[in-house]
Amino acid sequence: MRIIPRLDIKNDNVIKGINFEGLRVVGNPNEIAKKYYEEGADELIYSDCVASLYGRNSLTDLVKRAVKDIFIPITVAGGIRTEIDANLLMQNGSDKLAINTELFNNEELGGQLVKKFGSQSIILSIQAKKISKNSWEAYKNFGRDKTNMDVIEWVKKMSVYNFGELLITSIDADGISNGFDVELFEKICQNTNIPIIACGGFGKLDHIKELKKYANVDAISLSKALHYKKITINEIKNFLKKIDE
Amino acid sequence: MSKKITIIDYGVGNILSIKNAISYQGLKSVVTNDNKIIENSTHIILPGVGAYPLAMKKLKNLKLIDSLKIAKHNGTFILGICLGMQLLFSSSDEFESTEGLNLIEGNIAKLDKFKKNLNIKLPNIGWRNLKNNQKDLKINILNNIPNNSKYYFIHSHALIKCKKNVKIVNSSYQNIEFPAVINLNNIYGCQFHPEKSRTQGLQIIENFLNL
Amino acid sequence: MKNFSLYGLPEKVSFCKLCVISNQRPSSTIEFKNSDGKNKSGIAIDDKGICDACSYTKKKLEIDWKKREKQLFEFLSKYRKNNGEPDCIVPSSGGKDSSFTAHILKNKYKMNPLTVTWAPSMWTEIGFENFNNLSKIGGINNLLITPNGKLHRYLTKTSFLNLGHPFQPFIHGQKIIGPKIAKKLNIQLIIYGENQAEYGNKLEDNLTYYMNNQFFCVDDNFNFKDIKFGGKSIQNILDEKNFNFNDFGAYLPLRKKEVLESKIQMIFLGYFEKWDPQECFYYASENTGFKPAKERSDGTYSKYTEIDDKIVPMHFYTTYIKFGIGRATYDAAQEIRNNKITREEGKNLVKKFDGEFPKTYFKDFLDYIDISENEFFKKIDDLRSPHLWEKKDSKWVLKQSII
Repeated sequence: MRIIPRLDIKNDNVIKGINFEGLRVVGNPNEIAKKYYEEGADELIYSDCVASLYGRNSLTDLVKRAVKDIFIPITVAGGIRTEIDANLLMQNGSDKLAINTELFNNEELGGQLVKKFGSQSIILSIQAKKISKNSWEAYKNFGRDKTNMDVIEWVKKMSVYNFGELLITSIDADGISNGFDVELFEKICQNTNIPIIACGGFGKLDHIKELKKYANVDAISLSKALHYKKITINEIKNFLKKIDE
Repeated sequence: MSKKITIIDYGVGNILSIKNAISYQGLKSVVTNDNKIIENSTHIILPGVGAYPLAMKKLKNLKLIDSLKIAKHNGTFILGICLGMQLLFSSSDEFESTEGLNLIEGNIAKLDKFKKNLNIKLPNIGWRNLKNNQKDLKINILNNIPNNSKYYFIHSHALIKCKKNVKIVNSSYQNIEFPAVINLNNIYGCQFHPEKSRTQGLQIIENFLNL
Repeated sequence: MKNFSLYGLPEKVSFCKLCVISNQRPSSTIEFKNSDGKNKSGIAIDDKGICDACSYTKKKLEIDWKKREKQLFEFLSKYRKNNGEPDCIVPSSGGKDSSFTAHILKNKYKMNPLTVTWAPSMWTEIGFENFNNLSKIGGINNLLITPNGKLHRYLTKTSFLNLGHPFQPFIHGQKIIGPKIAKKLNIQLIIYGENQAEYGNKLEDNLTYYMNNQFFCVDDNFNFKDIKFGGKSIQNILDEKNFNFNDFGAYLPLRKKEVLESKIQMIFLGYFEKWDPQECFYYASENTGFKPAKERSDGTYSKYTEIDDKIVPMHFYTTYIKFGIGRATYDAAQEIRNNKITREEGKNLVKKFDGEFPKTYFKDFLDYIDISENEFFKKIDDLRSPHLWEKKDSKWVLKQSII
C-alpha cells in the first residue's frame, strides 16, 4: 500500500482545511515536500485548492522546483481544464495529473488527456460527500459545489475513458482525523478494477486496519496527520509490514 | 573521452525529471531529437510514457529510428526507461500489434497475458523489488545497490518473450514475474522509472552514465 | 433623479483600497426605531481610501493580546459564580463565533456560560446539527427561545415588503433576548463574540469592551407600542391585524432602568481575544462538533459563515440589491482583513459570486412570508437605488462595481 502525502496549496503556502473549508497555513511547500520525500513517502500529491475558484493555475513553478531534488512520482491536481494546462504541468516535471471539476463541464477531456499522455498519467479525482446510508454525491471546485451526480454512477460513467487510477477523497472525513469513510471505499472497490487511492480521515494507525477490512485500496493519501506531526511515514510503513504478516 | 549524454525528445515522457536526475550527479545532458547529436552520443536515454503505437509513430515522424540503430551499431550505451525500454524490442500488442525499434529481438505484451486466465488489476503501480539473480547473470548497472531496494513501476505491459542471450532481472506483481531490468551488450532497459526511484534509482542512472 | 440614493447613502460609490467593501455598507441601525430604512450612514472610508474596518485591522496588530487576556481573566473574576448557576450569557445561534465564544469562556476562562438562542426564522439542517453539537459535543448549556412563529412570519413579511429587510425581526430578537434572559435569571454578564465595529461601525466603538446598550434597550418612558417592525409600529400592527399585545412579549426590549437595576453588562470577547472568524471555524470544528455546510452558500464561496437560517441568503440578496454589496463581498472583505486571501482574489470572488440569486431557499422564503414570485420580483426592483442600478439590454447592471 503506497503512502502519498497530499499538499494543499494556496499561493505560496501549504494549507490545511476541515471538510474542504478553511485556509490555515501549514508552511512552505518546498520544505514540506522535501521532508516527506526524505521520510519515505512513496509519491506526493500537489493540490491547488483555489485553482477553479480563481480560474488560474499556479503549481507549475512549484513542481518544477520540486523535481530538482525530489525523485519520487508527483501528481498534480487542481484547475486542469485544457490540454494546454496539462501539457505545461507535464513539461515541468509532473508525472501524473488528477482531474475533477472540468470533467463536469467537458467529459471528453479525460479521454483526450489519456490519449495524449497515457492512461497511467491521468487520474480521475472524485470528492465524495455522503448523502445517505449508501450513497455519495460528487462535488467539484474543491468541495464547494454540488454536481447532483452519484459517485458510483460517475465512476462507471468515467470508466470508458481509461483513467489509470482513482483518487477518492471523502469530504466528510477530510481534516477531521477520525477515520476513513470505509463504506465509500468499499462501494467503489466493488465497482471498479483500477487502482484506488483513498483519501480523507486518517488519524491513527488503526484507521488503516479498519479500511483494509472493507476495501482493497492500493494507496492512502493523507495530510493533516503528517502536517501536524501526529504520525510519521515510517510509523505507517512499519505498521503496514506488521499487519501484512 | 568526455561524455555526450543525450535524452531523446520525441514528445513523450517526463524528460525534466531525467535531466534533473543527471544534473543531480553533476553531469550535463542534452535533450534533443537532432539525428547528428544522437548518432554521436556516448550515452542515450530513451524515455517513454503512454501508448506504444503513438510513441513509435512519433519516432518515425522525427526520423529517429535509423539514428537509434546507428547509435547502437556505434556502441553507444542506450538506456530505455519504461515505455522506452519496451520500444527497444520487436513488437507490442498494445492496442494493435505494433513494430518496435527491434534493437533487441523480443515481444511486449499486456501483463494479463503472462499466465492463462489471469485476472489482475492493471496498471501495476507501486514500489517493487528485484529478484535475486545468480552472479553471472548480474547486470552491471545494478552494482552498488542494496539487494532488496525497491523501484517505482507504473505500467500495464512488459517483455514477455526474447532471445536467450539477453540478461534479465525480474520483478514480480501479483505472482507474475516479468523483466524489470534487461541488458544486451550496450543496450539497457528499465521497466521501472529510475528517475523516480529515490537514491537507488539515481544510482542506476549513475552506473549507466559511468559505462 | 438619476443618481438619487434611495437610502441616504453617498451617491458616489467608492471602494476601500485594501478590502472589497464599499462606502455603501450600512452601519448598524437600531432596528426597532427603523421606520423606513432610508436614513442610512455608510462605512467611513478615509482620505487614503482605507475603510474603518481595515483601519481597525491595522490597529489590531499593535495590541498586546497577552495583556488583554490577563485583563479578561481579571474582569471575569468579578462574575465567576462557581456554584452551578450560569454566570454569563452568550447569545448564540450555534454558529462558529458563538460556539467559539461559549467554549473558550467555559474551558479557558472557567466561566459557566449559558448560551441563549433566539431561534432562526427557518433552521437549516446543518444549522440545527451544529446548534445541537454545541451542547452534545461542546458541552455547553443552552436555552432556546422560539418566539411566536406566526407573528415572526408576519413581521418578516412586513419587513421584506416595506423595507426590503426580511432579516430585521430576527436581528432585533437576537439583540434583545440576551438582556431579557439575563434579567430573569439574575445573570449580570452578557458576552458577545465580535464587536460589529470589526466590520466597520464607528471606529471608536472598538476602544472599549462594553457594548453600547442603545441597541438592546429602550428609554424608560418609551412606549412599547411605538416599536417598529418593518417600518410599522406595534400599534399599527395591532390595529390592522389579528395579533394582540401579548403576542409581542418576546420582542419587547428591557428598559434602561431595568438594565441598570439588574446591573447587566454587555461586553464583547473580540476585545480580549484576537478575532478571526475562520479561526473560530477551526476551533469550533475541533471542539464543538461544528461542521461547514455541504456546499457553498448562494451568493458566496464560503461554507462556514452564517449557515443557520434559510433566510440568510435572501438577506444578503437584499443587501446586494439595496447597497450593491452581496454576500461574497462581506465574506471576502473579512477574509482579506484576516489575511486569508488577497484583495485581488477577493475581487475575483466578488465577480464570481456576488449577487447570485438565492435559489436554494427561494421557494421556502416565498412560502414563509406567503407572497408570490411576481410580488417578490416587483418588490426587488422597487428596492434598487437609481444611483446604483441601470438597465442594459433589459438586464439590471451595477453602475459602479469593484470589477
